[in-house]
Amino acid sequence: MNPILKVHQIHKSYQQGDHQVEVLQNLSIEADRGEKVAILGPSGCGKSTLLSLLAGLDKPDRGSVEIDGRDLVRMSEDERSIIRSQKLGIVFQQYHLMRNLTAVENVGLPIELSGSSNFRDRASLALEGVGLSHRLGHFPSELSGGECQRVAIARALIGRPSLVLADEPSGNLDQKTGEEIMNLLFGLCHDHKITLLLVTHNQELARRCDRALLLKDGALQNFEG
Amino acid sequence: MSILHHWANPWFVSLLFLFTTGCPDGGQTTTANSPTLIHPTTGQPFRILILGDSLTEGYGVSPSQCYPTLLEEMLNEEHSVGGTRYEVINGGVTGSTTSGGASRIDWHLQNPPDFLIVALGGNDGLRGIPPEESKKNLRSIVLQAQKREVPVIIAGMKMPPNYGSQYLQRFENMFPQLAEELNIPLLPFLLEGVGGEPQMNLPDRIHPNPAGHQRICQTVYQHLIKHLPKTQP
Amino acid sequence: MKFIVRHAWREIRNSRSFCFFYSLNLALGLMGFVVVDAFRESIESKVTSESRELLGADLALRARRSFTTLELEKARATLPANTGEAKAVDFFSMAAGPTGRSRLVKVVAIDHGFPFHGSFTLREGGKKTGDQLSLLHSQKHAWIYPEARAQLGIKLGQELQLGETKFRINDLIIEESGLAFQPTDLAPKVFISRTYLEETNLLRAGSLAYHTYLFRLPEGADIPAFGRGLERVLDSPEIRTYTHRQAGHRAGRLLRYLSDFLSLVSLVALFLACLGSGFLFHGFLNHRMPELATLISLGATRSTALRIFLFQLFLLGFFASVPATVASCLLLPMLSNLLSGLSSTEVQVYVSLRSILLTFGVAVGAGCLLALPSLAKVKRLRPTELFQEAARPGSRPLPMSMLHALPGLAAFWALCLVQSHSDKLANVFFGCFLGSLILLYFLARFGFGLGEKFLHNAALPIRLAARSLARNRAGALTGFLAIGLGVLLLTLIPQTHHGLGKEIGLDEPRSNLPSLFLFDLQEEQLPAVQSLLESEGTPLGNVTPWVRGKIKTLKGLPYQRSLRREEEMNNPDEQRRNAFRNRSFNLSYREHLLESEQLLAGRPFSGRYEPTTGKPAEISVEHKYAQALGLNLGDRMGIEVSGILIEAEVVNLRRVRWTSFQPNFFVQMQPGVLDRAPKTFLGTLHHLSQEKKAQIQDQLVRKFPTVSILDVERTGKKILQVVGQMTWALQLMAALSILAGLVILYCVVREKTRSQSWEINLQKVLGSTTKQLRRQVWVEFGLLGGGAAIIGTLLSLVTSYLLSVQVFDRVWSFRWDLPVLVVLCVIILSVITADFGARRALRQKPARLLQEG
Repeated sequence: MNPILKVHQIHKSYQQGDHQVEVLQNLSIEADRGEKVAILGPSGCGKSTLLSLLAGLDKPDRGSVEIDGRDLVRMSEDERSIIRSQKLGIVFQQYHLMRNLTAVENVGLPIELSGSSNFRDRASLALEGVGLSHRLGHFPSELSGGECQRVAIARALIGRPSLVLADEPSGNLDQKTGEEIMNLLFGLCHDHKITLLLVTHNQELARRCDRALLLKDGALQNFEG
Repeated sequence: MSILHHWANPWFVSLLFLFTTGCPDGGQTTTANSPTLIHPTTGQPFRILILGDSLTEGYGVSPSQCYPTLLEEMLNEEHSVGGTRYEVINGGVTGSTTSGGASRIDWHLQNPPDFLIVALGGNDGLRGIPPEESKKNLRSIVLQAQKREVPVIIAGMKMPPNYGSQYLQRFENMFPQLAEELNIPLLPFLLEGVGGEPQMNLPDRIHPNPAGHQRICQTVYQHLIKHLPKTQP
Repeated sequence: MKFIVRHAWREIRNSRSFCFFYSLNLALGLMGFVVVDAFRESIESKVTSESRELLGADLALRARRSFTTLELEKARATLPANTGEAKAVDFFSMAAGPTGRSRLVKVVAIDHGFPFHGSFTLREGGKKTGDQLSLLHSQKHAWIYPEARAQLGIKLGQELQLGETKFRINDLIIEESGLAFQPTDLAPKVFISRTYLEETNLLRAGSLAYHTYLFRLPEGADIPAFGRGLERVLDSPEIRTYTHRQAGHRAGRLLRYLSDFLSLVSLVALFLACLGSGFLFHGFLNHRMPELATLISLGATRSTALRIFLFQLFLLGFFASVPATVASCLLLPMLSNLLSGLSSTEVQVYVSLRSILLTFGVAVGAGCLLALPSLAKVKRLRPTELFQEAARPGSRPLPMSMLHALPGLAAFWALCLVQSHSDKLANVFFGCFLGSLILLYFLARFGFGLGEKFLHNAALPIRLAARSLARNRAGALTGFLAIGLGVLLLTLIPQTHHGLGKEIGLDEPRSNLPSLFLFDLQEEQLPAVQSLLESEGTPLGNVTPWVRGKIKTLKGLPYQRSLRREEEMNNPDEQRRNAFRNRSFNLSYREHLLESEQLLAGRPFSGRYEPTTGKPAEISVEHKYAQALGLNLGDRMGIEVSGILIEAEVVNLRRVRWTSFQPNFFVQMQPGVLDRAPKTFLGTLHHLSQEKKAQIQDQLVRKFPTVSILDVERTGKKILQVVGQMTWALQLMAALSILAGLVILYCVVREKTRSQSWEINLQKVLGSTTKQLRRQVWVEFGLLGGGAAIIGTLLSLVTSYLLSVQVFDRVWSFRWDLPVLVVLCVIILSVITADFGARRALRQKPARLLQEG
């Protein structure tokens, strides 16, 4: 079985002032279908950069990023957008919901972007799946943080992506809500056999994944917590 | 161009307009006389004053093109008896009527010229002033000159037909009558061959163009030389 | 595409209050534009109809000779098929009444149909238009001015001898239209039908008569273009072509000023509206930038995202222009009713289709064009920042983003040219605007940095305000630009109005109009004339000596034009123009300034001239005449008066308000120099009733036949009426543009405050007290508004000066109170609006705001 995510020897550096900052160096990672991988690391170690590269929002200097066998690095920006809408789901720490869309509209947005017509029904179902069937027509400003993140998770999963990138999904939430959210995310990924790549500080969360990696000095190593 | 804008200032235009329509308006000053033109060896020049209106002042033509200047050149070239230098004083004032002339003659006679040509009346006619009034003024001009023993020629004027034949007659007759009465020579019509001829006039059809001024110069010259003294006084 | 529409619409629907705010602000700005534009069009059409009445036609050909058949054929071939044509002939003649007394009259022989525009108002027959004059054309009738009755000793029904024919006087003319080529006439007019002109036998070879062909063009014809066409085919210098705009009437220059001024007003209104909408769109896009990033992270391509936002801009612009147009349509009749109560001028104000289309165009197109630099940010948007903690996705401004303003600027330039009647005006205006924009930009960049540097020891609110301006540079810059340009635009109109007003004499009381104007009074005649008038109870006023002089030297150099001039003189085309170029000019002398004069520079005369001192004579020169001659204070001029050369020195420059109708001359000399020079006198008679006027005229003509009399009341009244209307129009437009400008500024400040509510709340969270925050906002917006207003006002002064030099014949006058007032107004407006906005922002829960940020 081919891995869903196959990152091979990527390299990324930024120009900062006079000197080059090597953020990622020869980083490789693979994840199989349904696998849950946690990435740990201190602030500023390059987790956001890695996520951007995996999401196709940015390109590495070298190396390849394959999702479902397709190399993002060789694609145009628009092609990457299409891959994002079809294969990828992203959950942000700050939810990043569209302020002016209702919960159901927010959730439906990705499949609507890829041309689905019955997005409303599917979005309602998805919201039901995250336990928000009573909040369909509410705006993000009318929802609590936990509810917002549930909406975001529903949005990330509605397109049946192969891979979900989660950036500290419980970082903005209190512990109890955070746990509920993580249970939800793990549960849904498990049910739908979706590969999850979770970036977090939380070692406990990392332990709940199939494996945990530590991002350090621009490369990944196995994390033994 | 900017000067045009100034003239466009309505009030000033109204003042100006009067004299471009109602009466021949002089724009150009002519400087027929300039002290430097006097021949150094002949002493005092023979001074001829033309008391006139815009026709004399040379409206719409350059100073060197108007008839007093041309006349001075012609006299000096063709009638310079014994080295006499002639100086023609351009006493043309835009818009001047005969009464204007009557009030100006005094000023000019402070330093009496050797000869006087009275070329006024056109504006009176164009403004419909009764010929009797114009005659009165012209008489006073001539009498003042005669008092100082300045020889005078009076130049006649005619009116365009649109003023009505009756008025035309009265106006034209005024000049010979006056000449006879005061016993002075008459130049029958200053604009002989010029008045009413499109090719001799500016587009306003009132003021002579350079060709017209040359023609006037001829007319004045022909009459003038008959009455100039044979030798320098 | 369907998705784009659906999504854009959904977003707008779901953020009603937000969109309402934008649309309202934009609508307010657009309303200002619609109202100003509507007034401009109405005033212009009013002025057009009035200037048409002055000419009596759309186009006219005039010559002091009859036209040849070939010329007429050429003219007719040039004009469109269904052009109306009528001929009029006018000339002076001596007419005699029943008593045989003859007087100078101006005969006007007209065709059926004359005048095409306007009408005759007759004492008996009432108001008659050109095609209602059958009585005049069917018989040998004549209409005369009322005052001609006394002068000719004639009554209604009696016969008037014109040349070889008699005409029956069957009506009196109270008012007339058409052929207003010259301001006054030496003689009263007599109107007859051209049918009977030949019978008078007055027009023969050598006659001096004006022949005028008047044309009425089909509706909507491009009159100036046909005018130029006529000029092209009729190349004779003797024929002049007149469009109704340049009927040689003394109001002509005023009408041109008015037309240019109105163009300027509409440009200003247009720019204000665009500025407002551009700024709002700019804010809108900045506000939406983080969501755009989210959309891209969800799999939308950049072009999809871009299209969604463009569509939203389109919708918002559309929604703003609908209420703006509707409200203007409702408001305008009310406004014009209100205004017609305040002035005697009736102006039908309506919103034209052109106005509406332009409004929509501005709202949608201009907004997008102005927002282009912001839209360019979408291209450079970095959604990767969504991952960074507390990051606000945006983009770093690049110097290259300035390039994105180019299409917008080009479009504006094109709009300027479309909206203005004069390309020169449009170019000067646009140039000044562009220059100001660049200047403001660099001043602001420099100023903010400087402010932060120098204010870092100031009190906390000031320090924070300065820092906020410096650190939030992009936001502060756009706000500064918008306010500065807004102030520039809004003060430009009143400033120009002020200069024009000074020139036209708007504040001049109307009662100065003389009834009669006497000239050619001889010096020795003067006492007799004065005592006659004194005994009649109507003393001669404004007695002014009139001397003719010639310029001999100018600033020590002989006053001569180039040799080329001689050649020009031989060219008939030049001859016509050269009629005005001469060295002779009229001058006068008196001790003091008149009340219609204003000293612009220099000092008054030192008193009577003292010949013993050997100093040059002092002269005062009208400022524009001085400009034309290149004269300045202290310059010398040699003036020859009847053979005597007078050396004169310019001691002052003065402005003459000609609407005072006081006789005046370009050059005034100090008394004591010209007292003995040959001269005539002018004088005016005021406040005469019609009967008294006729009686005085009759007496003067009889006793002093050489004195010329002009009735200036008839035309003077008409001119003052036009001036009055102009005054009204100028003031109204100035007031409207200030209002529109303030509304736009209010919108700009409001938007600026709104965009800052996030920062304000952040500070509150960090522990600032409300009082501190408010004070900081006051300082910040006071600095921003004040700085922008001061620079904007200065730029506006420069712009209005340049415009006056280029377009308004250097009519410019500084007005100090207005700039001060505007600056204060803008500061107060900015502070109050900002304070209001800040308090609103503070009322919201800060946590939520931060969460949303």
